[in-house]
Amino acid sequence: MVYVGLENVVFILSDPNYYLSAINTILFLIINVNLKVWIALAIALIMKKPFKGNIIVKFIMMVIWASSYVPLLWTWSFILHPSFGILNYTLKTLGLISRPISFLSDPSINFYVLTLLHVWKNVPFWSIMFLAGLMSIPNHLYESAMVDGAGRFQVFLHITLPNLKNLFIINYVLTTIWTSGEFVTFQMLTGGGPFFKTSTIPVYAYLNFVGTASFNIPAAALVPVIPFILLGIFVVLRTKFFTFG
Amino acid sequence: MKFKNILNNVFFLIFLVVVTIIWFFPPFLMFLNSLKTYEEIYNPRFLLPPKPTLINYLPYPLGVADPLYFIWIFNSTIIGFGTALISVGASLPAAYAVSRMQFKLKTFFSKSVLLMYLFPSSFLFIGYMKLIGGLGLYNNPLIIALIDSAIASPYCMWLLGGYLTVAAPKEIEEAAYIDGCNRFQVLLKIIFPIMIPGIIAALMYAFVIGWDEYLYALLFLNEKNTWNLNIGMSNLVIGDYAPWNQLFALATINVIPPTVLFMIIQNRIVMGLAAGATKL
Repeated sequence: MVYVGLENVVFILSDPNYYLSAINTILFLIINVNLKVWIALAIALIMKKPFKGNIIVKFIMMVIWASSYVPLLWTWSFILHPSFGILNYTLKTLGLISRPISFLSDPSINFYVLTLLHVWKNVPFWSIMFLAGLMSIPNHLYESAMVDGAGRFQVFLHITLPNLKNLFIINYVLTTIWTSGEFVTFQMLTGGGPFFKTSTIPVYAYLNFVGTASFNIPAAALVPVIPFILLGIFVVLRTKFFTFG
Repeated sequence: MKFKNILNNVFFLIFLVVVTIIWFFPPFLMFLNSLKTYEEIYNPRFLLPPKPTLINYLPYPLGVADPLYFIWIFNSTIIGFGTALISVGASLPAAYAVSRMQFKLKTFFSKSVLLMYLFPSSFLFIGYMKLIGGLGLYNNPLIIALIDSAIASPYCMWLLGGYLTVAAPKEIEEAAYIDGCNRFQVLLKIIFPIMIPGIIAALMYAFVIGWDEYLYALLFLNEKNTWNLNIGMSNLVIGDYAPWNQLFALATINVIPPTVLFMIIQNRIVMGLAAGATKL
């Protein structure tokens, strides 16, 4: 073991790819969390309505929640493939595009495609949580609102949303924490993108220090320190909602 | 008035159809593709298998699947159930202790339990490698279950703690003590039956964490007969070559057990999550 002092820190902080990865991570978090919360809420509202196909939607959500992430990513990489992927084939047959879109290799869109895939996988879990939250709102609130003549949107805004406030905040913060270390999506499907364009912090550490190129575990361990501190500060401001027991 | 109703219903229907297609199509495609041969998959004209075959599910002499995959299913099951039992076994007493007892660092502990997730699991593996490598505990699925319990426990603790606070407040216990129960009877006859939906929700969550485990299984399960289903699947991919038919078959098998378990107990889960996650 050789003592290298701050050499690793200097190397990481002076690497523009580090900042690119950090920006990617932040962008990913912002888009990801917002989409997840609202789409999950919308789906939970669908699942709450008593209609005949209700059980089918619940079943589909449970299937996606229960399935492993990696096989689903493979299936999506198969669907999005330019040559034999069914999405490109359908778009071409419908005449909407003339040349197949490389969803996963085109640098201008692959980051957003990966973000959407991550959202797709995690929305079912949160939609079931929101369903639980929706079911715990007592019925008499809705009934008294209807008696007072409130419209549908007003009911949603003034009764449903305030009662879900706790769940919203928990959703936001937990999703932020859970997706801040997202590694598999970006590494598996694009390998960090053409020149780190789709790399997040963990992917940056993996590619630079843990892959076969230069095996430098201490530097890899240093990479998430600053993001961790920043995220920790952000989360600590919300710990009131984390208490249990 | 009626027009607005019809418009609402139409939007609802469109949204419902879009959601169903987007979330249902990939697993459905996974299942259909597992019934095709390798060449048929590459032709996007066929969505349904032209001649459904089970060739991807049968072990080597009869089909193309690796004969060890039954053992892989067994290993995944061990890891899943092991994670579920260990996490809930550890989280339940912890949640009970925090909600009923007073001890020195109680508020700190209860506030910071979920902050454990700030360490991305893709970095904890460095420490785990040294620990488990040093102890020589390779090729043991139970060790993977133990690691995954560490990953699943904070959320289980939070879930069970919340559920305990809402569904079984102290007053119920005090009433039981007044009626003459001793501590053990209170735990067994009153607390435990109330906790069952929460426990089931926590067990399911931990089971899924264990069943989906990839990174730690990749690192610590080296013998081919100790592999996980996920590792077995990823091993089929060599560079650019991916035998999609076998991949889809294994992926379909990967999806079925958790889904079946979920469907059996789905009502209990939603009830368990309702009280635990939405602390009023």
